[in-house]
Amino acid sequence: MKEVRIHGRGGQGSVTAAELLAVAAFEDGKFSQAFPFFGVERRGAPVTAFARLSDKKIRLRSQIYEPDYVIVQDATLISAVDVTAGLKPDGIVIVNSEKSAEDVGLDAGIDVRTIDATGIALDIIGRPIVNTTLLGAFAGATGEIGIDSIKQSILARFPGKIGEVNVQAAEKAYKLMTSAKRKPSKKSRPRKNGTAYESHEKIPIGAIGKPGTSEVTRTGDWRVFYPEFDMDQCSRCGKCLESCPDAAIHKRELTGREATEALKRAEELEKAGKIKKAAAKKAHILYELDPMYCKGCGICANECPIQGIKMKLEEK
Amino acid sequence: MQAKYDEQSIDLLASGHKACAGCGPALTIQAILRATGANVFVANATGCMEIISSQYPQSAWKVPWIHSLFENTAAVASGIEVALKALGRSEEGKVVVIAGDGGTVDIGMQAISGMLERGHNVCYICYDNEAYMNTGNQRSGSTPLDASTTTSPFGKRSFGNDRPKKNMPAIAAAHGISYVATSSVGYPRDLTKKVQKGISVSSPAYLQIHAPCNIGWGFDSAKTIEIARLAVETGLWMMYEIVNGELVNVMKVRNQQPVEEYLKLQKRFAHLFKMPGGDAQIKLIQELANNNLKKYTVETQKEAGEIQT
Ligand SMILES: Cc1ncc(C[n+]2csc(CCOP(=O)(O)OP(=O)(O)O)c2C)c(N)n1
Ligand code: SF4
Ligand code: SF4
Ligand code: SF4
Ligand SMILES: [Mg+2]
Repeated sequence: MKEVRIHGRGGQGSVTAAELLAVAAFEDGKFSQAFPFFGVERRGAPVTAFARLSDKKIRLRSQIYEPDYVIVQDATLISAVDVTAGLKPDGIVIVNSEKSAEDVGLDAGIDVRTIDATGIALDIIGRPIVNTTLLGAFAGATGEIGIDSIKQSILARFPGKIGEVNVQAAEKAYKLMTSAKRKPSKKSRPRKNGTAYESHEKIPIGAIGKPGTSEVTRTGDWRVFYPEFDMDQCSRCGKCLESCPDAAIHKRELTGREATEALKRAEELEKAGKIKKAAAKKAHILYELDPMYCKGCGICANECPIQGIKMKLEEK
Repeated sequence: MQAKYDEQSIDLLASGHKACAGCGPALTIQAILRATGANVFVANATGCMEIISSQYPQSAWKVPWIHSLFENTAAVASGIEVALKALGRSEEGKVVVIAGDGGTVDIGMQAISGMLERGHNVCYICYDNEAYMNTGNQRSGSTPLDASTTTSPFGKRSFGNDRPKKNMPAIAAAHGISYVATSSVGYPRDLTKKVQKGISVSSPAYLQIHAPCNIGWGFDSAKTIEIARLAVETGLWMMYEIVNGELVNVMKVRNQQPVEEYLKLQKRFAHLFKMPGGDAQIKLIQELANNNLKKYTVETQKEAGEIQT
């Protein structure tokens, strides 16, 4: 039996990928399973899906703790989640990244294969939907499943033109992967265990004592676009701040020399006819983005009355 | 009362919560807590807002907060209120319920009715995202006519949800409570003012706040506030207060937009623009909007008197 764990972000089709893989395994005459991790699965948040493939009936129903293969749909997950947890010694990790295997931030000694699935998908499908592309890469890198079965599985799920472009993307990734050489790894990865308690009395009660501790979760890495503020033109109306569901915009008032300088600079811009008076008068007040938490929803940009906020593609 | 903005307390719902990008209900909570300030005890029903804010061992809340079951938030809040009274601690803050529409208009109904009947000093706030979103978009009594959800899907014999929204504010008002109001996340000043009124009375108050969910309704996450405003501008969501049983302060819709403007931005209504017979349904929805405007504006134009508490 081979076990596959797929790491993605909500909305990237990780569960669909697991299901397509399982159906493809059927096509190959194997037994298979696919299921998601049950948890908070908001769009952009890290999610996990699992698939098992086997020549024999599969009786196991647990989550996968010691995968043979890991697929990482978004390389930014590597810093947020332990994607290689429990990986078997000869396991393979397939990462969607334009970087080389050495540069994605995984330990040396792990067999990492990178593929620019986003690039391929944008090119062929026209949208950054990478799950089918990565299945082609999986077939190429592992040889566990025939590319024809992957194709059939995709076409059964997405009939017509959409299916065809997805198949083309998968095929391209397959070819790129089969031509790459394999480096066997040696180390097995420590499995991530739940906390064990000596007795039930030591289990903490289900109360969360400390307020505001969600701040340890840096939701900024869910972001695809980020808002860029034009503080020269900003009329300091505060609409952006009150429109942010994530409290990711802060108001800051400069004082002393900093304030004087900001106001002086704005006055000059106003004289030159470049900015409005309302903006110049309050140039010492700043509205600042907290990139640690901004999820890039775009509401602030949509609501800014002077169109002073532009959504820009995040470099990852 | 003058609506007051306390930007310093902006993050009483802390960053790092797990709501989807652009979540209307999460923005609603930011606005509610900005209006109440820190002196509140929040009882929060199971639903999206509880799940996204309390993933163990983290909490996004910076005010006292308790998670209740899906169905009994009003009962839990009632208990907190009388406990504070018994301990002589009522001065420490107002008890506020934050619950979804499913937890309010469906399964929570009898607990709410009991709370309102017994006259507890609790401000009950329902954020209305018009379906059971936490469990993946099942219809609730608050789902609007013709919205397609997983349990009211459109198809050959269906235009989606076949019932109009349940009139929960009227049900709350029928209990004879002194303050009922509707508001919307698209109108933060209005929302602030009404939340502050709701917590200022010393008897039960009921608020229902329209809060678009981009995942369930199917629209671009940047448009949460825009869509909320459109619901009001079309007449599909009415903003008013019921003070001492009297309908007052109905927000005027000066330039009524056709309902298509609202519907066409949302995937849950997309079938109406493609199916045979869809145009007749859109007309029906337009009538609902027109009737809303007629019903609420004819009776009213009254200013509110002092709230009896
Ligand atoms: C008695 C009971 N039935 C079902 C559930 C499962 N459940 C959890 S949240 C939820 C839906 C909540 O809907 P709503 O109150 O509208 O809040 P939203 O998720 O939309 O924010 C359901 C059905 C439950 N927790 N308890
Ligand atoms: S894009 Fe969304 S999350 Fe980011 S700052 Fe603007 S409103 Fe907040
Ligand atoms: S909404 Fe626009 S103009 Fe208003 S404070 Fe924010 S950036 Fe400035
Ligand atoms: S599903 Fe809707 S209500 Fe729930 S967290 Fe996501 S956007 Fe908010
Ligand atoms: Mg709901």
